[in-house]
Amino acid sequence: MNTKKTIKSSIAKRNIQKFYTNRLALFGLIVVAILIIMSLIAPFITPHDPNYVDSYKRLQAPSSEHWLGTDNAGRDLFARLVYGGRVSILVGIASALGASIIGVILGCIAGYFGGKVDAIILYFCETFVSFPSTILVLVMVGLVGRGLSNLIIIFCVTGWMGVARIVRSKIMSLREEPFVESCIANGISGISIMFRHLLPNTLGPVIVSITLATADFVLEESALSFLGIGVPPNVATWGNIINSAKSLDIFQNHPMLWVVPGLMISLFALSVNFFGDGLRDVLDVRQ
Amino acid sequence: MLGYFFKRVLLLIPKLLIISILIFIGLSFVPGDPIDHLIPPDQRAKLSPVQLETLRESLGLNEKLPVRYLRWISGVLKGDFGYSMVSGASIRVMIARRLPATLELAFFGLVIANILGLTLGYISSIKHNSIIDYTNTTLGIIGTSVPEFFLGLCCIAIFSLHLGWLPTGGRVAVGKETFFDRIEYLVLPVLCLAIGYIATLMRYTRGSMLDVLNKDYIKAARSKGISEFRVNCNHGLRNALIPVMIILVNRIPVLVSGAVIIENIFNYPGMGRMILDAISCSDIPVVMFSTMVIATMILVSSLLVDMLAALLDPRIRFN
Repeated sequence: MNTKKTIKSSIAKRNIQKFYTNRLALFGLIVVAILIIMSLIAPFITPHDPNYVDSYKRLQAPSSEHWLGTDNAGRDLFARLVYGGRVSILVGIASALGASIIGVILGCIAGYFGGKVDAIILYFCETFVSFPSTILVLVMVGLVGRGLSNLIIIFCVTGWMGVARIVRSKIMSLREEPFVESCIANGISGISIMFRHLLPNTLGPVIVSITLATADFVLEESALSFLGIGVPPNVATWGNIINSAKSLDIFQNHPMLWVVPGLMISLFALSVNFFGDGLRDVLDVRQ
Repeated sequence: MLGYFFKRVLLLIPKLLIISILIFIGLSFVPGDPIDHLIPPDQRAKLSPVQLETLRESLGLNEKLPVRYLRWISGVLKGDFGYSMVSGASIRVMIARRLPATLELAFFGLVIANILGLTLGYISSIKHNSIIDYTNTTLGIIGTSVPEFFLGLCCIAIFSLHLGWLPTGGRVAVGKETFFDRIEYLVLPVLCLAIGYIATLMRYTRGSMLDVLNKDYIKAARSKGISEFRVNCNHGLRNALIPVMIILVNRIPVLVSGAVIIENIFNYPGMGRMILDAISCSDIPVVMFSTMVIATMILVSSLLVDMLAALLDPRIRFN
């Protein structure tokens, strides 16, 4: 027991060291952490209400009171960015987790049972993949209406295919291993073999894909909100803040209002991608 | 090869049918009465329930779902694509006007992305762990992280408004019709559309090349004294391209999704804008048919790329 523990911790140590030497991944982790903490403790960072409209303070330049100035409704841009991060990051993480859960379950079932079940799941997978997600989401937004939880559900339903494929192919090769045979010989049920004995072996790639999917969903949310079909416009998200740049006056004369949120989105996605790539190297996941 | 081709084409048909049924069922639940969009509110208030009912009847809105689906699909098979519920225009005419614009955008985007993505990925793998490689990989991650619409906005602000080099949007100036008049309108949208694709292709080409270059047959080729360039191209790149092809197919829907966003930013009159406009006013016949057109486009293009992969790798054909 004792030796097992030391071996485990030495692998962990080696992995952490490996991660530290990858400077881009470390940079990504730090930036992601800062952005998440900032949005979590938003009320302590800024005294302003992101939705407080003050028509006397429209389109102000940055000042000591309003760090990044105010928008066309007199709302504090910095407060909107920080509070907007809450919603945008929440959508990203929740959708990535939800989509991965669906993907893992379907991938496990397809990989373990094989045959007809596998063929059916794979067929659905291919059909979903071969359809442009924006248009699928557009149609589904029309279907269930605009809203934060609706958007997350839509992302989950339209984003599970990648994980399902990874888990399926992993489980298919693991199924042939001797330990599965011994599980069957011991009378362990199929569900238990799938989720307790096989699934933990696939966690590396799944964690990497959850990380990378978070960035994708944040980008997708911002694009949809920008088009005016994502999160309802009264909720501050990074995409909704840029949406205001659709007015030509703001676009030309107050670039701050759309450049800063755009940079925030890019920075977040970039850091998550760096971090995810670093994780992939550490966990030695083959693409 | 021919047998494989026909098998793939036959497999397309059930896929298209499933997609069409799913979209049809989905759209039938869309809240909002198309009639509200058809008639101005003040006129609608004057209509009696009986008149509304006749209108519904004439538009075929009262039938049961399967009946409506069968009527729609048989119409499509006969070449009758229906009419827009909002403008009353023939969908055939609308598509004929919009589809070439989107095809042009997607085609040039794909061509540029392939040329740049493959070349950069190839160079990165040959000059593995050099400064060029590091720059390429870092730029690659940046390329996948910047949202397309933000990139588009930045491009408009810099190249159109600030420098005045290129038009802010649209497809062609009034009164001009040749392809060369359109080029300046294409540059920015095509670039913004291609960036993400370039980055993905580059990363996968690099990874796949590095995998292949470590294989024994590459060492064998080298030891035979074949020139380095031929080893890399004929023996390396040809084998490395097969997994890249699969990525290429998988990313085509992403390209179309990007086109929807890009068309909106650059005010480009293509299919993407048409769908977005149609969805925002519940113009169901237009949404239905244009999503089907896009699904068909994607399935056919992925079929073509699959054929290409089968040409490159005979194992795929006989599997």
